[in-house]
Amino acid sequence: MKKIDPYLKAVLDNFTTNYFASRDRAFSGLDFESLRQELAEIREQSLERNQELLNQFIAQAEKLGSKVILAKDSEEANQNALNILKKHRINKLVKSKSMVSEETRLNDFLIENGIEVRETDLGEWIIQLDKEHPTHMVLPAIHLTRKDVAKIFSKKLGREITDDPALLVRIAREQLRKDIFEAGAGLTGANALIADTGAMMMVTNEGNGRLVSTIPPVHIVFTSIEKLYANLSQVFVLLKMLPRNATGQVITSYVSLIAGPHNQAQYIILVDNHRSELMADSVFKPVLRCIKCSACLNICPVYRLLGGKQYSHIYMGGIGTLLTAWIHGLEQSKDLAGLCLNCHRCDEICAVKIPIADLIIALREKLNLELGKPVFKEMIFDLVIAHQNLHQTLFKMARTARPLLKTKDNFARKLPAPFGKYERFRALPLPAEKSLTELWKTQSASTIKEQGLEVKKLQLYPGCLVEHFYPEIGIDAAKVLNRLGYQVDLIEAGCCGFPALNAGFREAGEGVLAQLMKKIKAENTIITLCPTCTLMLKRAGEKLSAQVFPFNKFIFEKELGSIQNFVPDKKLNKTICYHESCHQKHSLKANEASLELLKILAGENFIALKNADSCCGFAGSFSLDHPEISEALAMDKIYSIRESGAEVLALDCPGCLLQIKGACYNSGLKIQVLHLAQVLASYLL
Amino acid sequence: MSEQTIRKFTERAGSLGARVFQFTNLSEAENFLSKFFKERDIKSVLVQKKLEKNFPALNQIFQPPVLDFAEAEKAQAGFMLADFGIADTGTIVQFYENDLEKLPGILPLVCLSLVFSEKIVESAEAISGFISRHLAQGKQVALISGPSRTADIECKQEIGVHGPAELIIILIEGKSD
Repeated sequence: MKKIDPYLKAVLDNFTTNYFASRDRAFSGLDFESLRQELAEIREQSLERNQELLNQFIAQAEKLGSKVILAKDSEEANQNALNILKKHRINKLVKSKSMVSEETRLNDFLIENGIEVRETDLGEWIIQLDKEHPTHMVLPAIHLTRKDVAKIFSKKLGREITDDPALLVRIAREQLRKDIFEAGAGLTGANALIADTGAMMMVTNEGNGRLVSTIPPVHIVFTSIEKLYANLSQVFVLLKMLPRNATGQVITSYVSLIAGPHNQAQYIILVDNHRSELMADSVFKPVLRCIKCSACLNICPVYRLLGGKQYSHIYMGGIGTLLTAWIHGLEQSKDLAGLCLNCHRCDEICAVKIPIADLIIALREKLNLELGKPVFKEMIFDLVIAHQNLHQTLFKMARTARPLLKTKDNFARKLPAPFGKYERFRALPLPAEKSLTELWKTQSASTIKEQGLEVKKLQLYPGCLVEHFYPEIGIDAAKVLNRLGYQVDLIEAGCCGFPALNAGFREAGEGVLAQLMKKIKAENTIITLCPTCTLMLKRAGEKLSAQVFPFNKFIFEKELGSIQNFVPDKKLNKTICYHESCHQKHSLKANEASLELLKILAGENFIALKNADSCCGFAGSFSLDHPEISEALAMDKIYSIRESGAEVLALDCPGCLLQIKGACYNSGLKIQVLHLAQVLASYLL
Repeated sequence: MSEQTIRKFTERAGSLGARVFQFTNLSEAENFLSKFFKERDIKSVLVQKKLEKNFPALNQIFQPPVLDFAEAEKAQAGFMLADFGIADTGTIVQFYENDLEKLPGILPLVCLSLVFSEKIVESAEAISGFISRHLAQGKQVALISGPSRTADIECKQEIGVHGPAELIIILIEGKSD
């Protein structure tokens, strides 16, 4: 069970708000998409040519007087660093920030071997004094308050220090300057290695990197083999991206380009730690494009709740999970892999277009295959979901038991105590009295034809939540489409297979999708009512992908004029706001269609929801695996909805509807939560 | 260099926390510096060797060339000559042939840097080939944009944590001799 620290959450929320404002300013006048495309291609080429660039870099760096050492793993890298220090009879080392040295646990190793190690980056020094590890790749001590820092400094110096940040910074300068002058060696990381000149590039804001690489007589560069670039022009592309995406700065205070030693001896230790294997893996290779900007952490809803202490092994967040699996072993990534919501926000902000969310799904599959499947999930996905008849039978049984399970408000009765955590914050729905398939047969939704309108055929795929829990959404969608002149056939199928795929049961998921595909008529447009199902259907190939339309996008793109003509003066008479579902916004990019439709329909009754695109915390089985995180996200959403004062919340995703409707009910927030199809039906019919 | 580029350079450098003072010649700059050092009671300035000859009146406060880093640490200010300025980012560029040349920019709390307007380029890309050639010869290069800063305590910006807390850019019309 993860713990959510309200202070840390507030700090990370505040940091993120400021970060995005600065980032927007920093990217002003630049096209982020084309810049990241360019950088992604550079990184990809560098990985393709890694061995060639590595050889070139080594030859050039050694020509300039550096000694380059290749280390296959942490042990070898740490031992080499120790050997260098011993060779030069050095017993004190100062360091500037190096995540690779965190990766190899260099400090612990050197200290065990009698070396005094001093971190000089302020954040790193603070956590070193606090005997902690970094919780953010760029801001390592983000979890500590100024009071914490004052306490840590007071203990270190043996006197009372006040919590004035300017004073704390001044003290750090004085203390660390002494250390830098006393040290026999300075160790830095590197943001880039430039093959054609044998130079390294390092970005810092504090200036400690410059001191550490200049003052002590020995300079050790401690970095990893994937950071190669062919030339400086490529590094300047990196430089255009890195500070903007990392901290919202146009440029950092210092960019150091170091080619060979001047007065000192210089060693460059290049750590592999399974990166060569990762580079050869056709699925996971993009992970090594990472430039460690941490933007994916800043945008991650789970990281913002847990921070890097709980959401890391050493590397943090989703990208950290992937790196951990290769660098520190699959076992270490097991729990972390379950923390990804699959919201795809990280994909949108990644500086080098790493498909982090999809790679986490691939990692879950790898974990299942190599470390064994969790028994309960195996039962659900390999047995129930994969066998649609069993799936349907179980829902039929649940519908039969409905009268015994329901409350007066049509939610499920409270679950027994051990399951209380799943419903503490939200009332759970019961399967509807009749499934959509059953209702469909009793209603005329599929056959209505408008006089004088050409009848066009569509297929409607409702997805399992609409099929079993919210059939009224399917009926309303069909009626709206009928009204617009379409004949709608229902695809009688339950699950699309995504829950299984998402949990790493790819075979089961794709099996379910294959069954569903058999029911799709090749010539028809497919309308979907759930963004996640839409994503899954789009996996079935380019041809089908072009045929599949989310309901909102279809209406907006094909029928906006018809809707405006139907009711030219009518507006929704209730105030309405809109929740942007993760897959709808971040994967399908289809949220704008709903927003525009609602603004047209509601006019001045439309209220912009604050943090409309923040995740509601449902994310399928995530809300069962991590109810505490799901609850925190849901409560943030409820807060925004309550603050909006709207009478209706519209959305596009039945999963979000389940979560938000149940959370509103338990929070006593009286608001109608409706799928867009229901909003349109109430408007048009 | 166009006036627009120079204006961009001064604006961007200013937005990063550097202070830019413009002069038409070295003698005006020398007057400014004399006054500045006097007002701030700065009696010891670590100066890059290539600048000493340009400011004879200031020689009494310029520290003699140092061979010892610890000696350099005592200076109250550093004074250096930028090889280029980059307008896009308000950056000054320094090429170093040895580590002593870095010291004025990394040790004291106050750093002053001279830059000639003719040396201001639009973007880093414009001098990419030039920098590469220097790197290939084993020279080191620094791009300096504003003072030393940190946000490691509660994400609050503080300056001067390791390097200079003040970066003062003396911009002179024309080009260096």
